Amino acid sequence: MRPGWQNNRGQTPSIPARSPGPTPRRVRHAKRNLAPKQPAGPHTTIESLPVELLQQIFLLATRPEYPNVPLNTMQAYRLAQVCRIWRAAALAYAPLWSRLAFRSLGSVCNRVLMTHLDFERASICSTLDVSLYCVPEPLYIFSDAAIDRKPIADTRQEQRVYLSHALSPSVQTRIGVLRIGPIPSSVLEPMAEKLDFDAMQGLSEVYFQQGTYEGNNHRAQCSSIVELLCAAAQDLRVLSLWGVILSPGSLSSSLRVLKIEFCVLPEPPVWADALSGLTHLEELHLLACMLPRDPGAAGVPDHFSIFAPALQGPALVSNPILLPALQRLHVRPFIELWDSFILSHFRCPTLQALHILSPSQDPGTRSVLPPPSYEGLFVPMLGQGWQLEELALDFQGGAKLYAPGFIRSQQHARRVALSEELFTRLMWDPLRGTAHDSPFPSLEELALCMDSTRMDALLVHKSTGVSPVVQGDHLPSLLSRVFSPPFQGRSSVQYHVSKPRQELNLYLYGSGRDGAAELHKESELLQSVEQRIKLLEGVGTSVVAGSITMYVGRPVWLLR
Amino acid sequence: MINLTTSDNETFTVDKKVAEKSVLIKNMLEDVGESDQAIPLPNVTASVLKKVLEWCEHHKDDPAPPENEDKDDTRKRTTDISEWDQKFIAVDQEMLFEIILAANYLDIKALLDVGCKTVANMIKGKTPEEIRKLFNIVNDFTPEEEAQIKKENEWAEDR
Repeated sequence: MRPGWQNNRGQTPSIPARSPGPTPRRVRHAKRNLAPKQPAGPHTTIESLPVELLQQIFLLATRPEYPNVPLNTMQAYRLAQVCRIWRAAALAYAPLWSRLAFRSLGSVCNRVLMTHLDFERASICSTLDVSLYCVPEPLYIFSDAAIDRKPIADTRQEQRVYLSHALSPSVQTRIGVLRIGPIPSSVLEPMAEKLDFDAMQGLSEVYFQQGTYEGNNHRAQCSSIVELLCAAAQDLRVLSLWGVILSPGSLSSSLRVLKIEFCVLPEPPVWADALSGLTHLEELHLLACMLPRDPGAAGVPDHFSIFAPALQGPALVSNPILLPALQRLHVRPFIELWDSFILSHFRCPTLQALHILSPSQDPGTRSVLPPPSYEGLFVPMLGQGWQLEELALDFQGGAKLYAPGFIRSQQHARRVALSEELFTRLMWDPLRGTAHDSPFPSLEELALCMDSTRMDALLVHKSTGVSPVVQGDHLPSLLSRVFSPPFQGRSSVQYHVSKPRQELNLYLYGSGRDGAAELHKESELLQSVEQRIKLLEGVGTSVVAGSITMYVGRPVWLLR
Repeated sequence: MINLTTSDNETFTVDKKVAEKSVLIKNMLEDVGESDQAIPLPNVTASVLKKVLEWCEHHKDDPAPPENEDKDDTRKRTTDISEWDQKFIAVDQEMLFEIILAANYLDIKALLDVGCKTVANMIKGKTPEEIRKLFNIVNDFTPEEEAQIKKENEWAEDR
């Protein structure tokens, strides 16, 4: 918002640009700024706010709680129904209408007319953020002649008409962000025919989250659409793919963010070459991907038949993959290839955030390999010389994955997520029987993935040894409902405050919870189960109280 | 120290660092140079400036927000407000809107965000009628507009 806003109580001239010193013109201008104006009225109401501020408030009110969650369009509709001024302000504000999340079947009484209205409202938007998805068709496992197939055919027909309407040429030319969700093969084909890839040069972000496939043909069709979309986009910045067969040509050098999950990658040398071209890449998520079964083969690999190339991982690429602009790296072990392969082959001199995720958090996609050795995982990390601001190693990895050297070297860390087990090992000196100082002097947020059988938190101030500030008995009873099975035993999480005044956000959460439903559930709990814990009030004169705010659930930076 | 004079002629003497949380004042000081003369703030009353300065004092050591903070800060929920700010902004509606207007006039972006987020949180999840009641807004739609709104609502109803 620019200073010098003009309201209905007086005019305020604009502020001159900054300069090293006053000039006669600037002094004149500044004196004009100081001219008397009408003071604020005696009864300031929401109607006193200028339209720009009202619109800013509208946007905040319709925004989702978390990024990458659809905008609340119904809230925008409601805002436009309050009074004439609000209606005019809302309808004239493009950001409220630019996100077209296509309405799913049965979500509203008349989705075709509502979609007409969505498009009408979005006609003021120069670029659109469009989500395409269909409600999955019911699956009939057994062939049963008695099943009435007419409703299925009607639904299928309605999906086609709806998508056809939604993909009108005027929409396609304005798509800046395209999010494709589950689309059954019966709808995919007509939809693909409707897509005019040449018209979509303005695409800057593509999200493809199919979620499931009906078979290899379906997957191949989806992969082909992704490839064509990537080829059409002239300045693609964000590419997020799930489960497709990745073509090296899809990786454009303009990419800033790349997220690939459960994808079939090209052969390692080809893939390494494609990645090496991503000189502007700032964020990379490589999550549980696969290698092709045979070099050069385009088919989907059989997960359980390719141990051999995986175990030879480090030898598959001869040169390091340099990503000069990379700031965030999220790695979930490849189904046949462990993190050590990635971590030992990448060179990321500007890395600030590293998240290593465990397949154990996602029971359906366990790795077929045994866990990596300490040397395999952490030695390559130490060799990178990273000084990270954000580190997540929150999986239950067992003793072999304890890497005090690497973790303790991260002294600039501001946000850290660790498993309770790892944290306890890090903080406790078993030889002396005392606690170590926190290795993170600049820590602002600590997230602990709690062991599923224990739950207590013990916060201790280092300089006085004052004891428990909060223990299990004081924790909200909701905790036992958050984590299942409930925490029955006792353990203590000790965090020692080493700075005179330190404010820390402490998050406690359970493992195996990154599904969308849990995310929503936890986000509610984040608000309802907040506790503020004061440390050391009134103890001594030289110590200023630190404070810890405790939350249940994951911090937002762990939810990406 | 800097002197600030409000619209109701009250003068506040504040630390330069605190006053410079306002980009308006900061730019003025850069433009006219150091002076003993009080800076008049004709759009802000004493009671509002007192609250604004309380906020500036508390946040004086905060680092400057990055230029593209809105876009990139995904670590916080979009309408998160810190605990201190929540207590600070727990005022009556008139003061809340005065603070927002003052923050906008003085160009204090972080305070403006706190104010706007607070109002947004008040609005979230409410029906048009509830919003009207909350802010004492008159329903001034014409019968034709009412009819259009009614239609929209019929289409949007849950099945």
